[in-house]
Amino acid sequence: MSAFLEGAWEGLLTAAKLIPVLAALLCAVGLLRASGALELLVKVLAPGARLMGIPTETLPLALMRPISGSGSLAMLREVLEMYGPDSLAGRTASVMYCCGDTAFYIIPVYCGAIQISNSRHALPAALAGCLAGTVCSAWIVRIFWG
Amino acid sequence: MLFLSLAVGIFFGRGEMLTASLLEQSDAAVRSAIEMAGVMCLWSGLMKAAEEAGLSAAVGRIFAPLTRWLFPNLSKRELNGGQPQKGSALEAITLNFSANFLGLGNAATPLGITAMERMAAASPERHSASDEMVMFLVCNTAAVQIFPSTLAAVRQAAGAAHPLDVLPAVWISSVATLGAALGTAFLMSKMSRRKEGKVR
Repeated sequence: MSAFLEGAWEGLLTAAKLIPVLAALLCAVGLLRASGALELLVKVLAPGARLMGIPTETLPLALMRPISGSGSLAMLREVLEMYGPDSLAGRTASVMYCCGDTAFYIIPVYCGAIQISNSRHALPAALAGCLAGTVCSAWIVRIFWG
Repeated sequence: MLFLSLAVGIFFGRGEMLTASLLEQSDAAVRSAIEMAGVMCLWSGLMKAAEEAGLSAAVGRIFAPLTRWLFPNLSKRELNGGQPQKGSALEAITLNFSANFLGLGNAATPLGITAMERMAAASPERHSASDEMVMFLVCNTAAVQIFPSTLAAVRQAAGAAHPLDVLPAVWISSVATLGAALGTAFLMSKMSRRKEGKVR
């Protein structure tokens, strides 16, 4: 029991240390979504995506995935609603949702909790993974259901 | 990223939405931290209790081959006859991996932070992530889940005939994601070490 309490106390202190990191992070993500920058980016990347075999309907989700978990969940729901869960776009979106996780949240939070300001190649590596996952999802879905 | 969003938003005439979003999000941040505090207390407490009970040593043995491959330096220092010592970074890393694998994201976060804290204690650089920390971070951002419960729920709600028929595709793609991320991390750490070598 005392071990539990000791651990719980440590957990509380860590959570308190995270408030400034979270504040900056959520504000930045909120701004990104409210500004329409995402839609602009989708328009720019659409032709490239089509060349790589990625359905353009899933581009917003692919871009959002490393940025925001709740945002990407909302986008997944949208795609499934608009195109149906068993369509090519719907399945691709489903698989994309599960590849990789919110890199822009995990990295700052884990680093911020121990006062690390330089995460070096963590973010590029994570994003490389997301890119690979996006392309792989699109191709796998095409191979299985295309 | 912040300034770019601001610029685009103002350009598109969404100034009001921007300020509303800022207020909303800063509010959400504090609420989020308070919610997290509860979860973190719970899982940090459970973890401490599990450590005392020797449970984490048992789980550590299962993941030992993987952690030995990914974190060779840590393993050399901390593995004690095939299992991570109590209170070591490897122990926390192993528990974090198990939580991620089982889809317990809320448990993984406090465990991950503990792992980072323990790795920081052993690292000379105060404000820069060590190679092992980066590897660990990458494993968390590209974690492979055995059962994507959120996805299944969303697909079912959307009326999919067989919500989990994408499961093999999910496994393959998430392994590919992890592989690409780990490969990139490995290459980039080699590159940065070579650069440091040249500078010295």
